[in-house]
Amino acid sequence: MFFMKKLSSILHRLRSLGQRRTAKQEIDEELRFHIEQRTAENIAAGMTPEDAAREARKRFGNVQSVREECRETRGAGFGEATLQDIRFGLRMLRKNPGFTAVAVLTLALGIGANTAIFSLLNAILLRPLPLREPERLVWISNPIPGYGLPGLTRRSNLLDWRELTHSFESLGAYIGFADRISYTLTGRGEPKRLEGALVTGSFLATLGAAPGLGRGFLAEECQRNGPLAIILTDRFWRGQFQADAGIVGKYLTINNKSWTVVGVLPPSFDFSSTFIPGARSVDFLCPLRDVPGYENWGNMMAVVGRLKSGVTVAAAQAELDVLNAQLQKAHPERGMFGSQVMALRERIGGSFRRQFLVLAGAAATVLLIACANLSNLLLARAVARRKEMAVRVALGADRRRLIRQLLIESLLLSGLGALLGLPVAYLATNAFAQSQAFSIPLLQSARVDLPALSFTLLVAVAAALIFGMAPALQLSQATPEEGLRDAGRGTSSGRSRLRLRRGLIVSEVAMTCALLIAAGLLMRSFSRLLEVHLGFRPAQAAAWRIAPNRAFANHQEESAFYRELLDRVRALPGVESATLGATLPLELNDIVRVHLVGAPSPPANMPGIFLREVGGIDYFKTMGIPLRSGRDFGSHDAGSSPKAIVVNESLARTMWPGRDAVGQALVLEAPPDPPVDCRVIAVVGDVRQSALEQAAGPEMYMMDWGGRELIVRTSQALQATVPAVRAALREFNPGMATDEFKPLEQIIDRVTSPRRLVARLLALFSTLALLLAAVGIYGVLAGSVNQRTHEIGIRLALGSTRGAVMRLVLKEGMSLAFVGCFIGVLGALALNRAMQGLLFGVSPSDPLTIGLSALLLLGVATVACWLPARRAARVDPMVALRHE
Amino acid sequence: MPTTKAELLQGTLDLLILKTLTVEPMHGYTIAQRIQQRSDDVLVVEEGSLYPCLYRMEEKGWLAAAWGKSDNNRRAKFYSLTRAGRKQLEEETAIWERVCRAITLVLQPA
Repeated sequence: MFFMKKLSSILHRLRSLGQRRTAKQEIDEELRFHIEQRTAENIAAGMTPEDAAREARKRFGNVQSVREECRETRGAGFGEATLQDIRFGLRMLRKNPGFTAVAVLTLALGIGANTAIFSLLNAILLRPLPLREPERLVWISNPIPGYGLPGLTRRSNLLDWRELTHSFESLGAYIGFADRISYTLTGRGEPKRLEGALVTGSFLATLGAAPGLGRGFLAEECQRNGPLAIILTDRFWRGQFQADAGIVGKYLTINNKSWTVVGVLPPSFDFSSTFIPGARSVDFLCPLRDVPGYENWGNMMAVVGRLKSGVTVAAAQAELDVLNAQLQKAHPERGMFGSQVMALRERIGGSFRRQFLVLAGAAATVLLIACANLSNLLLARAVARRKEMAVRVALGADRRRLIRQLLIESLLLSGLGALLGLPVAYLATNAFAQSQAFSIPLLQSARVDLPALSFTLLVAVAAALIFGMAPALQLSQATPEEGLRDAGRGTSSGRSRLRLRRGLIVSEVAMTCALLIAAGLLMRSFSRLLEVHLGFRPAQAAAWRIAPNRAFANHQEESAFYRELLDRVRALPGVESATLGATLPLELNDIVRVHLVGAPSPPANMPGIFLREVGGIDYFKTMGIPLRSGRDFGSHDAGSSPKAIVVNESLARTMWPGRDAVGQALVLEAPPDPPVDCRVIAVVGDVRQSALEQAAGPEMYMMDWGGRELIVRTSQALQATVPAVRAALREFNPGMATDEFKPLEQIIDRVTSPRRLVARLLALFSTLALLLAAVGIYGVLAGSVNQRTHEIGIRLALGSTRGAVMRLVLKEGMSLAFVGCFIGVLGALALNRAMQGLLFGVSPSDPLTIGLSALLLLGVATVACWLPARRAARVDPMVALRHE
Repeated sequence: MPTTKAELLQGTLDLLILKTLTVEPMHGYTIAQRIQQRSDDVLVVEEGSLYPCLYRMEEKGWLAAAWGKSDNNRRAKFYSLTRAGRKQLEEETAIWERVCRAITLVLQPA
């Protein structure tokens, strides 16, 4: 009953808020009617019309105040009063432009940073994948112990899983090595090299990513001699064909064959940024065709599965574990390692969770520090406004109304801050999303979207409450008597206010300190990472992705082509050496198994070996890999038997401990090819193959002419040589795409990009925090000096030296800074565990980082304290005393 | 200008309005007139109190308001008693009578 009444009253209120105009008009009409009735009666009683009207109005009294009172009771006044508060608040903000500008700017930075980080976090970690029932999608990797590899699976396993498991509605895959196949589009202007992804026919259906236009692959298109079909990615379709829907059903000439465009992927599903972030964007998907023997090729399928509804990841894992053990027994030749099932969402964004949570925490901390600062500024202003409030209380203002008005002022500040922060967030988010520099999945889908806007609103309101509550409560406690006295100097409430302000400063300094330490640790990790001994010299070297625009009749012709190409490049001025390779370090690698001659199978503890195919002589010289013993590949090693190979120190150490590896023999197994007899001709230094953080594993090099990557080392500036190399390539093989050029340093940039992003953002946030903390300390001390001018004047008049006064103020500020610093260091040590996984080569309690951070903070604090201290020392005792 | 005037006790105006409205729905002006007439011109309801009071009572759910036509065919806002209003009238009447009795007792010559 009570509830219903309350509800109807609320509804009434809301209605009246909506029809404010009408309600107001109704009241006016009702009151006017009353006056007119009275006038009519007066006339009837014999008055003249003028007198009658005058008497009626006089008798009624103050129409305006009655009207107001009615409106207030009616609830029509609710919206009105809020509007009034807003108008009043805006007037207050206009009256203090300096304060308003500082507050709005800090809030804009704080809120903008939070919105931007939320937008990134939402895209990478939170937003469901734009696929049908994404929570049922899993990734099945084939983890190879000790290697940070994507965990690809061989096709035979995929086929067996598909047939023998019951957990999955369907299984699909793409080929992890698809970028090794080169595609060139011709017949549409300049020849253009395309990036294609090979997928199983079931891949799109498994993901539930229906093409936006056209259809998926048909069964016959996945057959060996079936029609050639491709599905374009949205980006390629827009870039190359200006989003022409008519392209579906047309033919494209790729690698001199005719392919039908059967569909276009929807814009929501970005294959590249979902599965292969940081790599060159894929232009089209084509079906993996059923080639005989394909199923026995090596591990090359990246497998995704759709769980049957109700099946958990753990259940699927258990089923696969059992099945894999049986398969391993039945097919030892497959060299299976195992399989690990995880939610696809987890696989795609999960490894970045910690980084982005740390960033989100840092952004929130910056906003909290900004709030503490604002709270302090407002508290300082409260001293001046206490009288105003006291007078209002004395005049009968409702305390709740005062709090409301003060909070509305805070909300106005944070609202303006959010408004100004949104463009900042928008620009920052778009800059990250459009940057190809970061190999972070789904980053490109980051937007300041509706959830981000809602988040911003939430943050703005929360910030207003956080920084506005304490000052509002304090101010509303103003008593009427205070209006008559001088504003609370030296009273106990004044002292508790000071305690609150000092507490805010200490917490601000503590948060800044913790943030500085976190940023310092990450930056040191990053620089440690860059100091890693790569094993090759990326400086002054570059790789061209090349694809000859011609067919070769036989192997000799192909070898001759590449040999000639290298000779031409090598002859260019400024080129020190040039070579070819199939892959580059820190990109995808082949893994093979080897065994020693005579030994029947690889040693049990022998990990897979990285196989790098070298496509020309001078490889080690060009890459800057040091030769430890033996000789470099020569031209004659291309077709040698036994095959000449170069091994790295790790492999030499593992296979022939304590002996010279040069001259040793081993057998290479890389099914489906027959085993190859090899002889070691040299040992070279280790190279980091899969990640900078990961020490090198055993590796071997083989040489045959040719390769996708032309690697050039220059003796002069790299950029100066680029046009010459490009011209030489174009002259040698017109139509060969030559625009994909990348300095080897770019590879390092790419693999370090996630760390760089986090370290830089954290550095930015901690700089902001440091500035805010400095402003905060300065503000409080300056306020305190201002308030104590009188006291300082007396001290000076009584013979205190200016130095002593300065020390007094410095001591006040620095004691806060020291306490804050101390708490901050403790906090940082307590938060160690969160940072542990993000650091490289530096301990979370690294004394140097902690020491330097604290020192930096204290240094900045000293400057912030020194300015008010100097002002205190310059107080003229006469002026100070007269001031009263 | 009214010649006789009595200060209304806090809360009595509610009671008077409720009682007056038991006859029929009426607008503010009539309510004021009726109270004045029925009290032999002793109780003069001030407009400044009447209307906020009516609004408050409407807000509390004792009165319902609707726009209708007045005797001279003008748009006017008519108030009527709700069920809650009738109940309130009973309660307030009882309280009033008790208070009156009590005051009378006190005022009786000892």
